[in-house]
Amino acid sequence: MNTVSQTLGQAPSAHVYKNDVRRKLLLIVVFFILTVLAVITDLLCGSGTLPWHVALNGVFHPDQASPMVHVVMWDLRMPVTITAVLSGIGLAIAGSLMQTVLDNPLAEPFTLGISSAAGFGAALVIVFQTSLVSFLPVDYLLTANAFIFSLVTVLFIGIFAARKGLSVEMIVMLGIAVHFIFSALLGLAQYVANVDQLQSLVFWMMGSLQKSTWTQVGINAVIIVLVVPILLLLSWQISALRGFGEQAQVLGISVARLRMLLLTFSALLASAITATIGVVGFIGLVAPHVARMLVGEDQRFAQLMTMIVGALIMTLSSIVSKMLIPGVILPIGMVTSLLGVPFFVWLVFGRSMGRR
Amino acid sequence: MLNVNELSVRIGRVDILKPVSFELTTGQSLALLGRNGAGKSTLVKGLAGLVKAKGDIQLEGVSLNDMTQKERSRIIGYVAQDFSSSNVRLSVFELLLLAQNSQNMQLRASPESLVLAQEMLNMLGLAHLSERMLNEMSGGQRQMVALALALIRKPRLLLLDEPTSALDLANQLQLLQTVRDYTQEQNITTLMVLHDLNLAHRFADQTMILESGKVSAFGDTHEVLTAEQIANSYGVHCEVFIGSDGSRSIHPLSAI
Repeated sequence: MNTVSQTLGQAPSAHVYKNDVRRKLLLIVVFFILTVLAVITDLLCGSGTLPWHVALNGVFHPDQASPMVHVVMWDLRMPVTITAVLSGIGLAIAGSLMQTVLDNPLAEPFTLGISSAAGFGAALVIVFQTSLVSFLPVDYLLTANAFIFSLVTVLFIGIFAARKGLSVEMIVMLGIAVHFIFSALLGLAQYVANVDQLQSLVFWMMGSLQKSTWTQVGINAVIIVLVVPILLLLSWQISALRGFGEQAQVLGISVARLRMLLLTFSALLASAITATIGVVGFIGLVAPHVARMLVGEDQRFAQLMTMIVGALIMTLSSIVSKMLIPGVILPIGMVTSLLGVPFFVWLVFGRSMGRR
Repeated sequence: MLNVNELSVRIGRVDILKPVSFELTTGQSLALLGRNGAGKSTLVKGLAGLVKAKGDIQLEGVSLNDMTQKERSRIIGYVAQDFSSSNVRLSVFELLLLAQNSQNMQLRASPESLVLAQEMLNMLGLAHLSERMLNEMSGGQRQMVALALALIRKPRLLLLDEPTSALDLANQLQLLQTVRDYTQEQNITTLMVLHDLNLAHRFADQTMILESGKVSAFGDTHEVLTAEQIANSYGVHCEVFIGSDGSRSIHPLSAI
């Protein structure tokens, strides 16, 4: 057996570890700055012809801006940009949590059927003018119905799985079944919808930032502000769950309870964002992988980086959606999918070739 | 002292472990032997609180039954049989910090955990693997890491489920010698599931043989591992040689 005296001459691991921590923190700061720059660029881009210095002045000195500039910057562009940041954060972290809970690197926020459930919730309002929360003002019916359907769907799966002691594979199968049920119902709604309703529904399903309002910004911000600090405090436990799976119990972690909590948070974030902007794919799949490639599996760094990368990808997608075809703003979900598909293919093939 | 009284485990409709009772003095190691499916891993998991078990377990006068999993985890170190199949992408040093900070609600790793991780790497001769990811290591190296993860939490009861199954001969001896030294120096209690009867002879003070979930033999290792008992429990004829220094070795001859 090697003794302490025999190994004293070797490089102290703690020192190497501290350097690695500094490197990760530096990367987080760099990506944060990149995100801030992307946010400013997104604010300066729009379908109109507002000069960039006028736009910037409108942001930093709103009291000196003309009423037109004030409206464009603060009522139109700002909610869209902030929604891009918040939804990027929310979808990315929801994807990361789903990958942890389901122990599957290809899981994403919609794996358990959130997208089709939210779509059906929206279809009920658009096509059948029916809502579970008809007491709410008309403007909020669609968002609220989509939110409730998606949240209840995932929570039902989570609670059912916990009660029956289902394995992770069984939970995924249940999610697929639920997804197909809501897809069929959504198809039925599309079949009976008139042309205008169908157009509204399809456009909603594509995902768009353009209808973002300050109220929606507020709701998403509150959910993120409540959930994210708790997740950061649970970083060690989430790392243990990712690292040891069921065996994390021997470290004193209540694995079943932690899984349920993370599933609830993932559902809450994904439901709120999907209800606000529609179905935006690939952020939740791609951002956690990019983050892990940059800072590794330690969730203290990975979670922060996941949120930043999610916000960055979403903001860059927002810029592309406005710049790709002059005068036209493409649905954000389409752009994220176009940008995400090559990465997804690389992820799958890279994985099968053992490069991950 | 570890006192186990009528410990049993039922999974579905099957009694995997029928009521088992035994005592083990602190500072001693117990080898758990038996054929495949005898209930060895289940007994260890029952003690670790990883499967629901009936019966009373007392460690150094404190009942484990009254403890939460969190409290139990502070005094029990467990090395799983299938830890080596884990594909976690964390470095060995990160894993050692994780094992110590798993209940930490602060983002910063505690300073003591950095010192202890370094000490544990040095103690087990793993310092050269510190930056290596678990999925880049051999099965044997992973088993050494698994032991480090269990020891770093300073357990009072150490449970090892086939800790040497992927190790070469030199590393088998090194790991079990480390476990034996640690058990005696720290005055803790150790249970290890083994298949190699010679290793049990060499490193275990006490031996228990399980058959179909029941104890078929228990006592001092040299008294339990006789040719007759091995024939009864394993269905194998063998010879037990006693060396000039009193050490024993078992030579299997043929299946009965």
